[in-house]
Amino acid sequence: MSSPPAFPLGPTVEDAAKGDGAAWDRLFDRFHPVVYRYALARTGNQSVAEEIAQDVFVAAVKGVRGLRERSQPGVEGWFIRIARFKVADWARRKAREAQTVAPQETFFDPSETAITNLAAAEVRRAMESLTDEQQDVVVRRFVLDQSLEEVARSTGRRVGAVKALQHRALATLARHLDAESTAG
Amino acid sequence: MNIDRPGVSEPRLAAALDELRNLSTPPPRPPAVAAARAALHRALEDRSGPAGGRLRPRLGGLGLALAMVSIMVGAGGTLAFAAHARPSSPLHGIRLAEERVIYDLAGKNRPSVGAGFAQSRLADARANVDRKDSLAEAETWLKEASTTPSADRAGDAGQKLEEVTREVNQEQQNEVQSGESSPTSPAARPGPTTTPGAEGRPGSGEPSRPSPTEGPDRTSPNNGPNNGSDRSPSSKP
Repeated sequence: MSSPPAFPLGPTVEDAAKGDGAAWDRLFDRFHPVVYRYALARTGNQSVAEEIAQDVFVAAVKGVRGLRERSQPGVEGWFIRIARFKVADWARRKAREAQTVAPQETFFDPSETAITNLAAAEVRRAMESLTDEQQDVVVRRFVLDQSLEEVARSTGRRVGAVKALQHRALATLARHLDAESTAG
Repeated sequence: MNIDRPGVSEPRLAAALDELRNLSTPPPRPPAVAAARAALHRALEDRSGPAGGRLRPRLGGLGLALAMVSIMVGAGGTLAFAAHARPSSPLHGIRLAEERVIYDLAGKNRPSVGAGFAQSRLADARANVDRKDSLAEAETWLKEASTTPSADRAGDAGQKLEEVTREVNQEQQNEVQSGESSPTSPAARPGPTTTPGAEGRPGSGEPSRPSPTEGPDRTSPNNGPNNGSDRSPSSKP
């Protein structure tokens, strides 16, 4: 869980909804790192994560009038929800491109958060074996350090459902890692 | 971190989750952050532009409802005005179209409805509202109503049709007589004439101009020129 904001969130969200640029700057400073981190954990690519984080804030400007939350977890959950949709869009585009473009030799830009070692590559492959919902829960819980309750509130599920989802996600991850190590 | 691990390959899973966490620690590059902030402000400017999001939220539900009501009132007002538009009025086409719709939907009541429209035109003619055109349209409506099945023209509807036809014929005769007294009047032209477009349907766009010598008077035995109209002389043009 990220540290609480140094400014009152409720009035800031209300000012942002009215189009106040300074309020948006405060929201950006507060939530852009979280959004970016979520996107990076989901995509494993720094450029893509930066692009998604940018898209999230552009989408947020358009949709802020629908934001009813005024609490820190609520607003953060709202941004992460938008990020999740953007990641899903990116994954769909990626899948389409993979179908239409001939497979090329994988190239990793060293300036990016590249998958430069075997462990990281294994983790990425294991993550990709999870469903979108499972990846979402794993990243929220183990990268963003959100509690079960926060994930439940943000995703509109019961705590028990989140726990079950997490359990299945970790079991799938473990199976995948076992299979990788056996194959390796 | 309270991870509810499934108990399979625990150390490996924990290492993988730590790796996932490490992969997500590098901060975004400053140019990317600046670009994201700039995009945010661009989106903000777009939204507050004249045609942007500010207009719609300001309009809101109430505004939208008011706009809809204004449009409906405007349209209703136009129709209401058009309902009494004289033949020379630009709105007369709307009146004809309205009447045509009402007539077409009237079904078995078409004789009565057609007679009603003719009666309305007769009243216009008597009030000297585009007298000649009003009479012509009255006759066209009567003609139209007379072509309906005879079963529909039985009873009150038929009686009303005949009465209006008599009155229109009387009014037309008066028109002809007054035209004869004025040599410059086009109505004073000798002989029975068939005006082009006399067979046109009312409300079909171009109002028809039937000749006074044509029309319902030939289809009804009671439509003679002197068949009991008690119109007062004061209504003459």
